[in-house]
Amino acid sequence: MSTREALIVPEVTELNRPYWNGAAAGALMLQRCVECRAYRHPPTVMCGACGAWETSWVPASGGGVIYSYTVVVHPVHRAVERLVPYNVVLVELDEGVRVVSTVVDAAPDALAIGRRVTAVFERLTPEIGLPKFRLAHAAS
Amino acid sequence: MRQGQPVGLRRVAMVGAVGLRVGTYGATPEHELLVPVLAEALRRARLSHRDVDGMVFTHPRPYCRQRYFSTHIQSYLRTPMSFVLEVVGNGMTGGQAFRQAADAVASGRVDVCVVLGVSRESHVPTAEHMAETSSKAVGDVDFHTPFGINPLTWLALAAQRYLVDYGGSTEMFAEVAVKNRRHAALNPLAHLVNPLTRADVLGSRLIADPLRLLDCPPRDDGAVAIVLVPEERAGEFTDRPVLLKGYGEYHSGTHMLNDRPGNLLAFPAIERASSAAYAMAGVTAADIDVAEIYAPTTNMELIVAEGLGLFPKGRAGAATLDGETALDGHVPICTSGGCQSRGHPPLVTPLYNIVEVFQQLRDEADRRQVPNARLALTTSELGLMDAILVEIFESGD
Repeated sequence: MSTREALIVPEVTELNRPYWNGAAAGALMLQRCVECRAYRHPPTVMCGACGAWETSWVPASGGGVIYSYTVVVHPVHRAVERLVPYNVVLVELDEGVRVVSTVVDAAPDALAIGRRVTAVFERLTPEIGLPKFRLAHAAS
Repeated sequence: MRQGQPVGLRRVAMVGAVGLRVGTYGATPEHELLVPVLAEALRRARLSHRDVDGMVFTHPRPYCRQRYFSTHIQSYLRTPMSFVLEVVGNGMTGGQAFRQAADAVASGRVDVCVVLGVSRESHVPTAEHMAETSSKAVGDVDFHTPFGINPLTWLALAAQRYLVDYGGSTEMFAEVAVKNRRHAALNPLAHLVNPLTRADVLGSRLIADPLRLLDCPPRDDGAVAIVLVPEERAGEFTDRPVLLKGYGEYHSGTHMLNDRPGNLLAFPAIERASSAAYAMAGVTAADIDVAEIYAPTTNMELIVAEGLGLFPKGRAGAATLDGETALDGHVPICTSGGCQSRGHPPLVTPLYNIVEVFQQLRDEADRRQVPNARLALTTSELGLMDAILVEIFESGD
């Protein structure tokens, strides 16, 4: 059994399918209210800002900054025993919404509040991709 | 905001509050932990089991063997009642049980209502608890948990912001643990009582950066019984009642984090619920003599204390280093020893907080007594401060 199989895998539903399918295809998709244009995440059936039900799905730029982060050292789930230490980040996307994710290929001491990141995608199944992030290089 | 006591409701008094020493009780089942505590609370309030009109229970964990728990316990008493209820409120389960019982007394539905809580954790390995219960319970199961997040991870995200936004230090977190351990050493209900230094905390292993083992609570068992009556009848049961003066409740509409979760150091739930409680009690934060804060990790004690207005934003850490939140400080916080040292049986931690202020306001806290304590505040919360309950109590003698 791989570590990934032991962690919770998202369940694709009618509501959230564009998010997971989008990530499997390499795009970070967000819901955007057709009425008030507010972005929202995680997906919901109704806009919490204005109450409208009509929703569009739009690709996000994939860019954002680390709002906060932690490095999990103690594996409190059996599922993550072989993954520690791993980081969990709260990323504020350029569209203004925040997502929980992880930064790949980063030394723990490279993480910092305010650092820019860009989305990368791990394909779990043909229809589920998991948006993750990579540190953006300051000069690029 | 509504000011003063609600019109048309009876005032509520606490006349008994008893807790089992927090710790690990092995194979002892929930009902056997709870019933002796119930019996002792009734005895101390000069009540027979036949006098109980109503009971409100914390709903047990999913791994409790005994189903229909409240019915089962009521059958121990062989007493008919008009009001029996089990309450679920995640981290504020105990606080919600207390509020339901208080509301039942205030409305006149019942006269003698007992709040009963039992939280049995230690027989389930932490990994199993986290994987099967907590991790799914503390965030969006599809959008948060696939990243290996757990209850402590969320609190660590707030801790990082405390360090960066306020120029805080892990010494501040460590001092919360040290101070709480000193308090616990004076509390017969506390689990962990051996002396602790800042170096011990800072040298303990990392759990989720920057939180270390000794910033975190142990997993504990516990049981509490609290007897509530209308204030006008309190004298029948004790000459030192503790009065519920105010309360506030606020649910912010987030689940750990939503799309725009705002500032992880200034949660609207804390500020709104405490403002409501102060207004109802007719007091301000400056009037509070002792505060029992529901804070699983050390950093959250600082963040909640600031949200309650006990300290300006970003100042609770330095105040803790200066001893201001210790027993002899000007705002003693978690005189019980708090979640880290008194212990943290989550379903009933809110009730242990109330037991502590019951003792403080009756001048029964012995060597950890805050001199002349008249007004006390308690909190409980769920998620990442998604919702919070605040109660304010006054000494009634």
